Amino acid sequence: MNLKGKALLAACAVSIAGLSALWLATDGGRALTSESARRLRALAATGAVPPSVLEDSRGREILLRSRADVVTLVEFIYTTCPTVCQSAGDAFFKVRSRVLQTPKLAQSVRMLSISFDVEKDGPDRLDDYARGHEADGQMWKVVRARRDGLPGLLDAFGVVVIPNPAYGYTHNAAIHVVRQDGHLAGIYDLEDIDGVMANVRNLVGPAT
Amino acid sequence: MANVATTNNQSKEADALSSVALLLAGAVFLLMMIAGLLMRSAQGKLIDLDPTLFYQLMTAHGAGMVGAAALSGAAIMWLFLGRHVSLNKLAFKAFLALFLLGVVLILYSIFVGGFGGGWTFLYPLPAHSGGVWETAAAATFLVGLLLVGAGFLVLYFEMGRAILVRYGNLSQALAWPLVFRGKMETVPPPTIVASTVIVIFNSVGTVVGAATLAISLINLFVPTFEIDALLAKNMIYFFGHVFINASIYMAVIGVYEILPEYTGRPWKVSRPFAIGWSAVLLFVLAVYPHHLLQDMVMPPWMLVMGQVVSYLSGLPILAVTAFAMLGYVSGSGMKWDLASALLFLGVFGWSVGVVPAIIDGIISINKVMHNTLWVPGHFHTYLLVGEVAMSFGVMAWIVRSKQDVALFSGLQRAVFWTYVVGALGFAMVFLTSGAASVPRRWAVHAPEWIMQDRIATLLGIVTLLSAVYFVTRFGSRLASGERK
Amino acid sequence: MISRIMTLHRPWMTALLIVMLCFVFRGMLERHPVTHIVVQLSALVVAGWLAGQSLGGALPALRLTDWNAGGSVGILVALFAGAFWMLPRNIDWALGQTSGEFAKFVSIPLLMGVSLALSWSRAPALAKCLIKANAVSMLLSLSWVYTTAPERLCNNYLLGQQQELGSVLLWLAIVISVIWSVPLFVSQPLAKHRPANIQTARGVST
Ligand code: HEM
Repeated sequence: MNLKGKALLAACAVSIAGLSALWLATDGGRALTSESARRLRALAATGAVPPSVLEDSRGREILLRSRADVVTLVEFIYTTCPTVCQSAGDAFFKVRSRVLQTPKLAQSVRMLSISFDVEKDGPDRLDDYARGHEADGQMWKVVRARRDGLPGLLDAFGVVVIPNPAYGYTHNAAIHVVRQDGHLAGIYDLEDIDGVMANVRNLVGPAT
Repeated sequence: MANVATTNNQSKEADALSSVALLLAGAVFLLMMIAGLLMRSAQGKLIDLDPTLFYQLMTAHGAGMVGAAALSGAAIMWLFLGRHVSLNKLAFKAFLALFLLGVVLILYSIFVGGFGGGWTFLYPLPAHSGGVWETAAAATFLVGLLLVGAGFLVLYFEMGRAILVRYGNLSQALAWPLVFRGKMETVPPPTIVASTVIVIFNSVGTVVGAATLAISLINLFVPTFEIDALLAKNMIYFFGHVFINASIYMAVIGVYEILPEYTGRPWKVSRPFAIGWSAVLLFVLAVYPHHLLQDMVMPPWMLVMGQVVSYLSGLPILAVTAFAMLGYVSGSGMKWDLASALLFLGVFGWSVGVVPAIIDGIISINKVMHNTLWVPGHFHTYLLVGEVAMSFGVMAWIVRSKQDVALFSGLQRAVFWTYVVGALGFAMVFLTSGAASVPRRWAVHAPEWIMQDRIATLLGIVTLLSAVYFVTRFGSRLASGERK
Repeated sequence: MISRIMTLHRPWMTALLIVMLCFVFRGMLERHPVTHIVVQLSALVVAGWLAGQSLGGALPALRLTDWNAGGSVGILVALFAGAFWMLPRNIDWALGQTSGEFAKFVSIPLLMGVSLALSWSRAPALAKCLIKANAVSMLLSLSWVYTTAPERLCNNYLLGQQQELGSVLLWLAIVISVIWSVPLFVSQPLAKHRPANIQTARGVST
């Protein structure tokens, strides 16, 4: 191999350019998949999530951002999902039990299971899911998106939903923590209840 | 009397690079023998060693010895392959650089990072240390192994390239016309046949091994990837077996090239010889896809077969080598000196060491036997009395002087026999302990095993002392030779 | 010059045809990761390679024998481009956004295909072997990752599809190794034979 000076120089330049490109394309080696990139972006985002209007099983309007003094936890589901969305319900169940242990938290946290299956998830199905996971309809509401607001909503959370030929949909499953001012504060795997709780405690502040 | 035609250009051949690599390997052998002695005497309660340190030493000893065996084997192969094809020295330098860099990382991960997972980096051990070592240390260890692998790939590909340039294609270099049709115009020398086989299966092995390492690395950082543990384990064991066996195949090239100088009979490639080497190639290669595909199509009995094959794959080579050697030596009026004696011992130790492997291979389903000192007993025999003896033999041959050719001084004889007794005895104690179900990889031994541990320590010291003689003699003679 | 390329070097037109087919049928090809990655992306590399052959033949100066001595730089470019497109999130980018789709159709033929075609034949035999070995090794680890990852790595594909991709990559690795190694056993693959036009390249470029 007789690399001459010029070629060596060019090779160095290409290596630097290539490594920088890869560094940028992976957010500094932190995100190789869109899912991890989505989470990083959510944490770094400057804007708040949109003030979407959702509706519950009785057709009442529910606001994604209702009060400026609560932390909102969000999961995206469709009620007929046989797998992930049931785990999502279980995860929320566990989070709620932990939240209820501290009165201060119990007052400052609300949880939304939002269905993106606006066609099929009618009132009955939402109620079934709520009953199945013991959502109380107060602190934890099972709601569905409205058709017109759905794309913007999914976009704001970076959620991708694709129809699955075998059953329903495939979609990102995670617990999204929305700060009091509407900014995303963190996205956690369904197993990472500790992570969710730590973030929530941090946002709500010390129990008095 | 010995054929001395080759002695004239000996200095040219014994190129400095291989000698440096051999000296390096020799030094590592000595250091790691000391580590081994520390372990053995700790088991015998002669010294007090913290168990954590014991496992660090064991990891270092295993990785270091396997590395040094491979390094010395590679140096021997490079040295003698250079007699037949034209090799680019740059490749050997790149190999050494990558190898040493890898070794530095490995040592760092063990002694600074505290990694003690055993040299086989058994999945999923690296990721689950129970807090003893950090992810970073395990990652450093794996990257170090990757660099060593890359170094070997450079070396093998350069050798393969040179062989192709000289012989046109691999079938010629493997003497396949001789294998299949029983005749061939110009039969390649044994060094070419052996080197080609080694280059092929170790290249394949390194490529697959690198993939396994990459996966283990990913698993370290993304533990939720539930990598099929059995598959990973099989791959690692299999690769480990192939790699360590290959160090012997590389070293035995020294026997093919040097013994003729002492017997006066050139070592020729016969049909059984060519078949033996090709058979090993086929055995080993047949097992890889099987490991890769086992998830999808392989029935379990083939899995067991794979393990047995990986144990026994070396038999054909051993058989053709040992029989041919006996044929060449007997009645040849062979001249004995330190070099020829050690080389002969090497083939002997390899043969003896394989017997327990056969026993173990046949009953390899028996997990109990597999986890006793029986296993270290088997591989210490064929490494310490086999590969290491061959390496010492080649070292002695490189620095032999004209007067030395027929000379086997009293001191040399004494040291040689001390080594034989010490090394064989040391390995035998492992075997007897194994037969008595003493487990391997235990830092602390039960009182009733301590006697054996102490005897082994004594024999180990004897072995170490003779080894010090072989290596320092080689080093000092190299140095004085260079000064001239 | 253009007409010379068109008449003398037909591969150029084949290349164009391949890119067009890949583009027209992208909806179909991109529906499944196997057809997307194994068929479409490889076809784009091949198209670039063919175009690069034509270009290098018609304009030998493009081989840059000085700045790209031994083909080192071109191969590096291709390796980096390959690494970039190996990241699952960039596959998502190519599927989700026009900019990504555009980047894919331009960068893969140019940075991987063309630059390899202009460089590969001049690389030292040892380097070629190492790159090939690395390719097989990467395919094996990718296949392993895709078959066993518990989550989806691409937002646009399903877990089952991802696993299918993993098995296909394994077979690909095996087939490629066979294709690369069998000739070594039968032919006379001496490192020496290089296309004659490289020798003339220097004369033209200076
Ligand atoms: C005087 C020389 C030597 C001594 C005293 C020695 C001692 C030991 C001891 C005490 C162990 C641990 C056994 C156990 O309890 O499991 C061991 C393991 C081992 N030795 Fe040696 N050894 C020597 C030479 C060698 C040589 C020459 C090689 C290879 C070339 C070698 C390769 C290994 C390997 C691979 C292991 C297994 C490590 C593991 O289980 O992870 N040893 N040795």
